[in-house]
Amino acid sequence: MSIAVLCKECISFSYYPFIGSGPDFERLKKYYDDVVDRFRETETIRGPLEKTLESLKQLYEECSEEGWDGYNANPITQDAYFEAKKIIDLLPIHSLPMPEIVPEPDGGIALEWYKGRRFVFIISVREKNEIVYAGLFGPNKTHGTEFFIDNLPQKIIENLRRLYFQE
Amino acid sequence: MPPISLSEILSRFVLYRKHVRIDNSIRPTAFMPDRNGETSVFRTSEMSANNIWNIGREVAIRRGKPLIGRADIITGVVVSNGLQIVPQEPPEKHANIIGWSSEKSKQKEVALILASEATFHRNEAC
Repeated sequence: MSIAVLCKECISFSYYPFIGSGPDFERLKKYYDDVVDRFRETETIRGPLEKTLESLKQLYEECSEEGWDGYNANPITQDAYFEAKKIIDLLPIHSLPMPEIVPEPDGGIALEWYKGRRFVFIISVREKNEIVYAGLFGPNKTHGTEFFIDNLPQKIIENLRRLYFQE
Repeated sequence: MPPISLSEILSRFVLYRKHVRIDNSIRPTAFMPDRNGETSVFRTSEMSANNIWNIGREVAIRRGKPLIGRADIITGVVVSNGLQIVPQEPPEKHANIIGWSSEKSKQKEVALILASEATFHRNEAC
């Protein structure tokens, strides 16, 4: 008998943290990935995703030289570009708005979700496998650093939920 | 040079378009420190709008960028978040915000607060 268990890390069916091994796992994972890929191909999903990836590419080209902000900013690093791309691909895009892509003076790239003046959550990448985040949720605030490889860290998901579904 | 009072207005000139959101609010990245750990600002209390924009235009020309606008913030907000303001002239009225945490996530949190308290003025000529 199987028991259905709620996945606390899943905020969308397009985002699922896979943990497992063996041929059955690989077969199911491939099947699941195909379903998600087909879902992402739909016009409503593909449009914003492509727009965000295009914005990332444009920003990477625009900020590739020192001083792009007029205040001696470092050029955006290649690591930051690829890590940002990886995170965008991991986002639960059907349940959350796409973030704005913003360059940072240290050569990093920020992904910003903005709901209003004191309701903002930002994650930044500059080096491989590291996400730096900060958020304002009305009178509350948070900040921290998370390690990541193939899945969005739970802390990031919790804060996005907090921004859009709680505060 | 008079000491900086908590009620003084500090202006951060914005020279990059993505530092401003579509609703004319300022992004935290506009306040984040440069590689020397400083955020360059001007003390603009009691200055006419014309004079403030003249300074901004000079900054933009010197740095070879368009003047998008300026973000004004009260000194008290900066200081209450653990930062300090150090006058550094020339140019006249110039100062740096210093005392940023070495931890990037903390820097971002403070920059978020500053941005949420700042008022952005767009350069209509841009």
